[in-house]
Amino acid sequence: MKKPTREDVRQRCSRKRRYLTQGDALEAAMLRGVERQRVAYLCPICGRWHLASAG
Amino acid sequence: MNSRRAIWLVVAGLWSAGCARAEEPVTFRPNLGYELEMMSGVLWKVGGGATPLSYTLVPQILSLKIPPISARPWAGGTLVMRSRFSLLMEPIVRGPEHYYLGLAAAGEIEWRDASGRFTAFFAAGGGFGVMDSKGYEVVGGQGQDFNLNWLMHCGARYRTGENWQVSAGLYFQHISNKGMNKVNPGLNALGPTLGISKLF
Ligand SMILES: [Zn+2]
Repeated sequence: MKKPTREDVRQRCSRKRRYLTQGDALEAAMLRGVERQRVAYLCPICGRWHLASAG
Repeated sequence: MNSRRAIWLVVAGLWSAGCARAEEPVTFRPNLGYELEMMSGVLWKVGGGATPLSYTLVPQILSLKIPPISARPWAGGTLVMRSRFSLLMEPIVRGPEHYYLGLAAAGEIEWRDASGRFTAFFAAGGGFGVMDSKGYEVVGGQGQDFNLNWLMHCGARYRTGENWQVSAGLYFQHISNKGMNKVNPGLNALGPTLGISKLF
């Protein structure tokens, strides 16, 4: 897999929902029943939390 | 004796006790020494960006209060600043973890009425502790055993005698690992406390 470009990373951020805290991100995943399939991570671009597929 | 009569007797008893107290103004020696307080409470998880899981903690808190750093007249009573150092023993009866054991230091501001019987207080501070973290097994659990805490506590105390005091309050506690672990949802909890303290 090629290394993601800066533009890829930026798009990954802008397409995703932002959460103020890790707890808020986990809560959103739990509400959708997908908490086992997602991990919350702190985005280096926007400084907020996003959800990504686990594993 | 029927229950209505029993209630009436209790009410009458409390009323007469209150009157007797009102007739004899009591002034206590100023509470300016050390104080040891044992407090019990129930805290329920509240929102505010922390874990979405339900938690219930049953904190048992032993605090040592040191002599005030300042005491000055204010609003007909005395405004007192002091510090307290607490041992936090907190079984978690609901939630993925089972306990939190910690230490906390807090500054406390108290207003005492002229007689020294009544005190209103506000305390804020923080510390650290350990728990049996379960964040890697249960989503929403805490990510590591070592955690920091901070607290706010307000309420009132009532002097029952020269050396004893009872209290009721509202306690807010935040626990998290400050990002030392990538799993760090944090835990915010709020609830009532009851306490008894001995003055030295
Ligand atoms: Zn982002």
